[in-house]
Amino acid sequence: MQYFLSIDGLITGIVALTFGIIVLIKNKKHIVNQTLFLLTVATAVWALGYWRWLMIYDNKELALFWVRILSIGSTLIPIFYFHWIVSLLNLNKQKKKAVTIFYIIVFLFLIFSFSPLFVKDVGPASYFAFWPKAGLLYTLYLFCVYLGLVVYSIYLLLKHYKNFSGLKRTQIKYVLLGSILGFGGGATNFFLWYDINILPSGNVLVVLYPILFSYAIIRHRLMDIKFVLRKSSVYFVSLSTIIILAISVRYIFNLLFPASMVWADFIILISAISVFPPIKNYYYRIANKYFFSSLYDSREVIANLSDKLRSTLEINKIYKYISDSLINSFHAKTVSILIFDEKKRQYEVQFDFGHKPGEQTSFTEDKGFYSKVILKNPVIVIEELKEQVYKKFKKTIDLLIAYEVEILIPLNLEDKIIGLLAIGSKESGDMYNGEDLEVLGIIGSQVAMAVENALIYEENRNFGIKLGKEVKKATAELRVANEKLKQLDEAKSEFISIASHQLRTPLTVIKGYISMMLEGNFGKLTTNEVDSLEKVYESNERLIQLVENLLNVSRIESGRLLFNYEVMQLEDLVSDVIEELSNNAKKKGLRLNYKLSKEPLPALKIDEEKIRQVVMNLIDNAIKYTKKGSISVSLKKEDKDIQFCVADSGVGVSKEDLPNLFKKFSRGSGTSLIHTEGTGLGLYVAWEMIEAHGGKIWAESKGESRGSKFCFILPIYTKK
Amino acid sequence: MSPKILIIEDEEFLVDMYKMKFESEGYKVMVAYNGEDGIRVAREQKPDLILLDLVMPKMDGYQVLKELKSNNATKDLKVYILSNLDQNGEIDQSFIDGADGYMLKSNLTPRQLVENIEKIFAGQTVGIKKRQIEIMEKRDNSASSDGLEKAGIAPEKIG
Repeated sequence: MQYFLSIDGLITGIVALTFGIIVLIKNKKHIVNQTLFLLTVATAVWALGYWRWLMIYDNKELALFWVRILSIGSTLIPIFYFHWIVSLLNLNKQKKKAVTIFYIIVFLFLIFSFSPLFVKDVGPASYFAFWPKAGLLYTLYLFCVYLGLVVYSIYLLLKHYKNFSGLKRTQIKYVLLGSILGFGGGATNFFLWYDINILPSGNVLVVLYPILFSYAIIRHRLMDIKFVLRKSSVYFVSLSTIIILAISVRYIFNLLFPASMVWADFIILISAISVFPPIKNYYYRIANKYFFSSLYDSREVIANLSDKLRSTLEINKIYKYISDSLINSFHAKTVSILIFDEKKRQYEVQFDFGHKPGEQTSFTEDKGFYSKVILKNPVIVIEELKEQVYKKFKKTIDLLIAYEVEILIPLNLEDKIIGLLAIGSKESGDMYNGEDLEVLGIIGSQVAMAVENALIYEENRNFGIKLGKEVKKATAELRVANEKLKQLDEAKSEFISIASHQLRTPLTVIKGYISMMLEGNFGKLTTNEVDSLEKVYESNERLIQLVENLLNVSRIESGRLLFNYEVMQLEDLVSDVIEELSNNAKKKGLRLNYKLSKEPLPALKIDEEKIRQVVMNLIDNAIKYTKKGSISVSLKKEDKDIQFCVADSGVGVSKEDLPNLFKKFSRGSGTSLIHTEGTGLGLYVAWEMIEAHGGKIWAESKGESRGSKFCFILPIYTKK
Repeated sequence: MSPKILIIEDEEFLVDMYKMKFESEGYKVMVAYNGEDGIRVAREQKPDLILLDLVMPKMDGYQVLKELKSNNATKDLKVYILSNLDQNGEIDQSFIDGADGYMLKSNLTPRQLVENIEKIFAGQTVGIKKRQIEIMEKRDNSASSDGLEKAGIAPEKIG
């Protein structure tokens, strides 16, 4: 027994020192780490003293020496423990006085470590060769200081437990567990000091407390203690059940077949091992059902959310599903979904559960934070972050803490950041354990994909709606513009119609009176008078013609030129025109020949008035521009057309002007085609009329003053 | 007895000119400077021919024409439109409203107009012909419908 406890002391000492050094290395500057290191050193002094002391079986003096050494350790343990707890709870400022006073008291006691007032003597007790006997001061110390400090520390832990959440809470749980095991176990040593026959068997538990304390400080993703306890209790119950079953079976077997026990033992062992998993599962199910209803099935959560996310592309539904899933499985107080706005370079809260309205709605991007933290971690625990890189990203971290974010899940797709999922603390105040974080990591990647798809979908839909609106708007504008144009067009035609009507009235009066004068209605005129009046008359006729052509051009432009087609003989029409104009030609001393082919010509389907205008125009032009010589009008069948030509020996047309003759006014070349008499317009109208009849019109000339030839062809009418 | 001609026309110069010419040719000429007077004179005097202008203040030529042609007392009177309007729509409308003919003023000297009037009294038709709208509408399949389309004129625009 003595030997066993001695080894236990050695192990405890080494473990305590090892963990103490690890804790110190992790953060030398932090008071929590420093005080825990001191505590482990004190523990090591005590435990190693313990080891050395119990190795001694025959040297009383040496045993007493080591007992006093171990007492130095055990004297220091409570004050370091107290100081550490105060640091852990951030109470250093408030409890500064208490800590100082206790340090002084403890050091006062230490002075008497080697006096008999502290350890009176050593002597045999129970299984041990030299067990110490308590002195007066030792008793005083044990009950006033030791017990006082430990109880007060545990009181502080319990008192402040409520004020913390998450990581700190779990830390406190571990510390409480370590304290109970450590001090409870260690306390079993004291009974023999006072000759109470209770063995120090709890000492084996002491080794657990440096481990638990260090674990609480160093490891941030602590296992949820509840979870550990649940699992271990399930294991414990399962194991107990199997052992009881095995023993019972073995007992019954022994009664029936005492001879073949070796085989029976073997079979029972195999059976026990094989029934362990189903029994464990059975208890686990029962435990989940009746005792730990808050335990969620991570696989089910992930599968359910995944199914739901796949069921829709509506972004708001997706936000709701995510939030519902997190609230149901983790009982999170707040859930926010932030989407990254690339233009503004900030994260905007698009969905929120649990925050008051009006709280922060956007977070400006912190470049370093983005590249160092968000891109690199599937799950960010803010408390861990605070401990690791608080100085670097103070502003952002403070902002996140102010927004009550405990877990931040970046929604990344490869290198593209879509947004953030920010989760607040659990309703229970428990921290997010390793399993939670793993689940959140998986959920994060699913959510990122779903949100990205939904956002793209929404963008497309919005684009579609926007496009539709734009098109509608543009169409409406076009309709209005078109309406206006129509009105303008009507106004223009009406104006031209009225203007030409108004022009014609005085022209008619002039025409009428001049013609009456020339006809001698107002008495006989002299040759000079007749000559002058004829010129007035002719000019007036050109004006009338010009008005007519202007009107025609206007009608052509606005698409209002209407045709009245009739089947008729072109030669009759041409004969009429020649008869009408022969007088003019005769007056100018020009010969006007009409060459008509001998065979009868086929009929055409034409608008008589329009074609008469064209023929009249062409022959009249020939007369006008020819000073002497002759004008030949010819009409013949040409393949499937009838060709009309007027050839004269007049001014002719230059090569440059030929292609532009039939265009309205001058176009681009700068060549003026408006002759003083206004024929430019007449040829344009003629061209339009012939084209409208499906024919062709053209001019030929060998050059200026070498005469010209104007022709058109019209298709022969065929009955269908 | 010489035939009676009623001129309904608001343009004084024209009226003077036509009156002078017609009277010198031996016709009896009555004049109305607006539509209302025109209708009244037509009803009272029953002229052998009415020359009706279209563009007039207050009551235009179409209204006068409709009134004359819808009234039993005047519906058989010969009414020729004598106007300077020459758009198809206006001409068509006149024929629809019952005009017996249509003459374009600026095309005719007073003498030529008198010649036309003589022809009218001799039973002939003169001036711009009534358009054969029915034929126009059936032109979809005809040889020159291509041309029509080329000129930007679809047959259904007619009328």
